[in-house]
Amino acid sequence: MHVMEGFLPWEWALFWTLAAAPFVAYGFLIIRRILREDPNQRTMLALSGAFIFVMSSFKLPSVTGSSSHPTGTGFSTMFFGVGVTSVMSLIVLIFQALLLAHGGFTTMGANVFSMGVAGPFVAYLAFKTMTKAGVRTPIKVFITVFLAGMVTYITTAVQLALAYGPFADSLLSFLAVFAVTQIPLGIVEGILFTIFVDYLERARPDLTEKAFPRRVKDEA
Amino acid sequence: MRRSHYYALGLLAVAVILVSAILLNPNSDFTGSDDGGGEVIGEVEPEYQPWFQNVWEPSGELQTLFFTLQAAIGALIIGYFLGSNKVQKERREG
Repeated sequence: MHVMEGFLPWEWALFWTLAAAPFVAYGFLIIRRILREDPNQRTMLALSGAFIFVMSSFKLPSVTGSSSHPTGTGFSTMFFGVGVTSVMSLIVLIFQALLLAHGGFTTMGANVFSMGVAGPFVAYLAFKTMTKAGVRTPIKVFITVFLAGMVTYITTAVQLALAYGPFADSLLSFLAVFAVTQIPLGIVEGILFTIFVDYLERARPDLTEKAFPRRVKDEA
Repeated sequence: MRRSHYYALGLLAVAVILVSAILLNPNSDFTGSDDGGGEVIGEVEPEYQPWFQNVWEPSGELQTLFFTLQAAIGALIIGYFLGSNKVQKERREG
């Protein structure tokens, strides 16, 4: 979902950097607090980052011909919310920009915003809403993870369309390239995380209960 | 159905999607949708020139190495977690 190095006019590069910065700063504060206060959460933090590393290295050909990769941000979003996820995304994006020429530093702000802020933000809202509505865990996890990835790609398409008008026409062209190739990958990612969270909930309920409180309703 | 059956079914679906993606695109060169984005920019606004180049672009082989490294770092952490879980469980039970 990366916007390539140098491919955003500098005004937009600056705009997205400013838009992403507060979330990253907030995320750093939360991570610092977690590391100080709660060793159990530390494990989950490491897992969240690890999943983003693994998932975003999965470059797979998708049905439409180009290859693409999932974002892996859904897990972190469910357990820690948007701020922490934006920090994790920043770390992976720096790794990829530095070592892989994938994404870049001028487009870092835009990429952190789509992967670490916009996707997780929508996914987190959906997650909370589904929790309130009592949606069962597997379905909830699948939808949250799927949304985190899809919204990331849609955001990238919007970012490019804003920079390269006319907006409506180019949005469609960019969506066709990004979002559609992303659907099968979103499903794959959704299934994998659904299985993992299910495993985790039974093996280590102490780690999951903050995001998935145990209720009588869920037991049935 | 037992839980493990659901897991197996899920993993099977994952395998089917991935394999069919590869089969449907025998000529995929794994260039990525990122480059696709660049091509569309070329169509929408042909005169656009990127104003900044990657600080350093590794060769294809190196790139593969770093991608693998990235996955390995993540997989190592996840594997460590799963392993330590298993050990703790065995201690509790045994």
